Amino acid sequence: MIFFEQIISGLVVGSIYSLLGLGFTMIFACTKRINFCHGELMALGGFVGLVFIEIFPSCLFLSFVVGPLTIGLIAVIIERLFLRRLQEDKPLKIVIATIGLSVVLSVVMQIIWGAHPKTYPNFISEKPFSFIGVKIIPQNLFIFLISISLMIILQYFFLYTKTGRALRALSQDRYAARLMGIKVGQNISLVYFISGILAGIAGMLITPIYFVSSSIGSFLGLKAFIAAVIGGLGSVPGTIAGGFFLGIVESLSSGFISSKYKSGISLLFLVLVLLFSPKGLLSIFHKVNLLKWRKSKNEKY
Amino acid sequence: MKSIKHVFPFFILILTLSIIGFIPNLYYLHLFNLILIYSIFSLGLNILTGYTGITSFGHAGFFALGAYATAILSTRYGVPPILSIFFASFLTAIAGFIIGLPVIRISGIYLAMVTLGSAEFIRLLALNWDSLTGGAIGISNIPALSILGCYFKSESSLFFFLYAMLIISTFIFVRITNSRFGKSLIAIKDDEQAAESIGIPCAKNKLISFFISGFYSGLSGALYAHFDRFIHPATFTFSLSVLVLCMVILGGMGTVFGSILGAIVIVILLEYLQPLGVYRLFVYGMILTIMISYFPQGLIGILKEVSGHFRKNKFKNTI
Amino acid sequence: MKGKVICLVIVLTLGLSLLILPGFAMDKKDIVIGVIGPMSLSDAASGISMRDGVELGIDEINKSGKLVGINLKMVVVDDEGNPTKSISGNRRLVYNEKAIAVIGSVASSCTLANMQVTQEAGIPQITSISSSPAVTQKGNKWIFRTQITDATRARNLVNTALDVLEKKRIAILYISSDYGIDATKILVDLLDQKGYPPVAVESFNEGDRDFLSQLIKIKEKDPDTLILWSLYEPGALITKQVAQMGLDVQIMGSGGLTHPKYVELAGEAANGVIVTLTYHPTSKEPHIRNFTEKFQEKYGKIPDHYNAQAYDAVMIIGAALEKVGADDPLKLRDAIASTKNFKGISGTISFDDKGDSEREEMIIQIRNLKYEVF
Repeated sequence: MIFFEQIISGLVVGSIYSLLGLGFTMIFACTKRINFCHGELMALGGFVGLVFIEIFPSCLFLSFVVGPLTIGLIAVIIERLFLRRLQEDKPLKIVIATIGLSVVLSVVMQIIWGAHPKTYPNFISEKPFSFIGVKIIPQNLFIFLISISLMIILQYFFLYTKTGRALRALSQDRYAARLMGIKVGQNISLVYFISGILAGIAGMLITPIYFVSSSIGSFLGLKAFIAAVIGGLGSVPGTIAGGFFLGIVESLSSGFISSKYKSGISLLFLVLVLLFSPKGLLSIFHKVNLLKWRKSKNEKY
Repeated sequence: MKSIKHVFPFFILILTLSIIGFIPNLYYLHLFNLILIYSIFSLGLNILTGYTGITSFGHAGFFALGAYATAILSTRYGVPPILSIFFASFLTAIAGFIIGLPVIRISGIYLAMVTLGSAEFIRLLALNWDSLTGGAIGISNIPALSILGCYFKSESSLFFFLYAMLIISTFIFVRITNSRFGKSLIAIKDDEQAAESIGIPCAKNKLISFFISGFYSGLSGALYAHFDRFIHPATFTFSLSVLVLCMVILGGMGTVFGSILGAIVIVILLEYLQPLGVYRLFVYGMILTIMISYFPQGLIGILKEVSGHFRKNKFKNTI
Repeated sequence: MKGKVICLVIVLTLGLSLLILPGFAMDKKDIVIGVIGPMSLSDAASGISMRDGVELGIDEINKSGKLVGINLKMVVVDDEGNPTKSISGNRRLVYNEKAIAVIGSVASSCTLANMQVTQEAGIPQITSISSSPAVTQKGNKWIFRTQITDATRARNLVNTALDVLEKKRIAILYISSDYGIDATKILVDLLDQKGYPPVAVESFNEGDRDFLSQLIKIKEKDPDTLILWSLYEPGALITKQVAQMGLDVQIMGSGGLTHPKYVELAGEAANGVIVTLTYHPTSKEPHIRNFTEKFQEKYGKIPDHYNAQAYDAVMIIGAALEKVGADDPLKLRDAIASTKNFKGISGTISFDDKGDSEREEMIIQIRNLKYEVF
């Protein structure tokens, strides 16, 4: 019984890791780079959401649209100003630049909104409901559903739309993609825009249950990143699976071993996965991957 | 004869800089000592990132390992500091070798993540292994440095010791990077496949550079432990890894004096901007971002470019 | 190339202006009281509380004109909650800013690290927030504190739980940092002595946002009281999650739960929580009311006990300066050490021979989102 409770509490945390991890995956899938300030963008999303909810107190939906869009724009600006020059360079340079940006962003947030964490009430009712003996608050279920549906939308976008295909081509060979008439710069901006929107959505959803502060970004961002790497950075289903996997591992290890070793155990998993299957746990199943199947189908024609 | 001529200016420079040791202000001396320690540390990262082209986000882990090893040895088992420092550096070098082992299979971002993960792991170990590391209370009263009963307790005597350590380690560093081995590292950084094809054992050389990097970082960590005489897991977080990375990038990757220059600039800048409060970190983050995206060659590179620019102009004028 | 040159020029001008700015800010004629604590990053809230309290105290001392020919000046150094930076920060205060006394730091690990510096230099240091008993047990005669130690606080909480509320099954949830680990050892020892060993002792890591697994484990042991030893942010999250889980326990807590932001963040769930405090803004005593009003006037918010304890620390230094002047730090230290029955905002303060000022605390319960005397 307690085992199931722990699993479900793991899924609750895992859905947050998945939601955040999607942003990392989005950028990695298309540009083979990592945006380390994604966590800070998420925190910024929470703060911006706070501002918009104060501006439009009556229309929650509006702030839920405008907030993430703002973060998307900020992500594009960051990309244009600081990262564009590095896109052709070694992948790690962008990582270093975004680490610098994450410091800058968290300081900016502290200057604007102060050092104290902030929060706003849940969108849906605060009242928890019972599921196999575990009390779950609706907000958590909402986050769970949103991560799953975002996964489906993103997967559809990557596999079946023209833009999605262009982005995939970009990730495989930028030079060839350019020859095929794909506008590389524009598409990279688009990727950053989408990942910014994802960060904004995550920030707005997480704020009521975890609070938002200038320091939450680096912490949650790192966790989500680890989750995405474990599951398979660059693969949308892999990221979701990795998020849930890390959530369950954490909750089981703090439930049955000790919460002191929680982070240690997840780091151990990270290193093991990187060593033995750098493309993530889900790459083991890649033989039945949709992408490959489609590729072979295309080759026939 | 020529080599003496070449070395002479450096000799003068070293002697001139040793005047710093006689500054009466203990706070400045403390900062200079910190700079010396960080210089050794950033040399350690530089051989990996600047020369071999392997980015590490986990050098705080090596620093922590060196500091904890010497602290435990000298407080628990009464090993004389000078021996325990050496032992700690060696231990860290071996740890660097082990953490570097994945280099055989993976590279780039994945390898950087392994270093990040291992550094966090070391920190968590220090935090949770109470009986050995003092856990969240840290280790205090670490004995001051001493050689044959002669203590380096005051800041200024410590300065001369650290200064000597930096000179020795820089000298060895220059010898390493100018050797065949050092050149092979640069070849690996530029193009690994090409390096492999001309017969450079890439994996082996990368591992050796991990070993050297571990040694330098462990040495600086150990020196740090005897310098502050108090260590605590909170010191060795990811932000320390970023700090030393920032030093290397700011100074200039793949240059010996760049690392030292980076350490000097970052330490002084962060201390000088103290009255600005939180804006100081804004400046720090911006430096990291702007340097990497606009001036990846670092301060040394900028200096060279500027001096080259002037030289070109001179040349034009003579014509 | 042109872009690079322009960028370089911008960076240089920015850098130069930054270099010049602090030069204006420093004026070394006055007597400096150093404040060291986290002013940025995750611990910033507590550090800023401390700074505000000190600032108000210094303003008042200067306005009152009790110190003839001395103008007190506050110099703040940010240690980011990092022991290394705390050491160099304290060196800056002592050797560069020539501080006559230092107040700080926040985290006990930082204070343990940086008090070596004031000890070496022979400058009195008062910590107004660090609560680990270890701080005053190192035989350092230059360190004092206006904070209650964890030992006293733990005893107060345990006594309230066992004797006043008559609870029997106590669970402990603590933050695994120097703050929580030390205190938990004391708590467990106390409970063992009293014959009611804790039914569950669980920990969480700094930065954790989710406590469901620990709470599930605690719930299984069916406790009636949960002693929470944490900072205010995770404390508020835990309180909320306890309510969401339907865990029916009396939450009691340490200093972290006494932060005004705690109630704001935890909302309804915070009602009924019992804490211990040295200072309470609704107190009727005139000098305390005076402080509360002045603080509200200056900062536009209700002061907390961190403000009060920092204010008391400055006032003690001020009183000592009044007695012996600012010439000799040793005399100043002796004057501070001989402080007896000082009527502070956070209680009547007398330093014992270790530098602690153990005193009674108020038992406070949160009702209708307000701290009220229990």
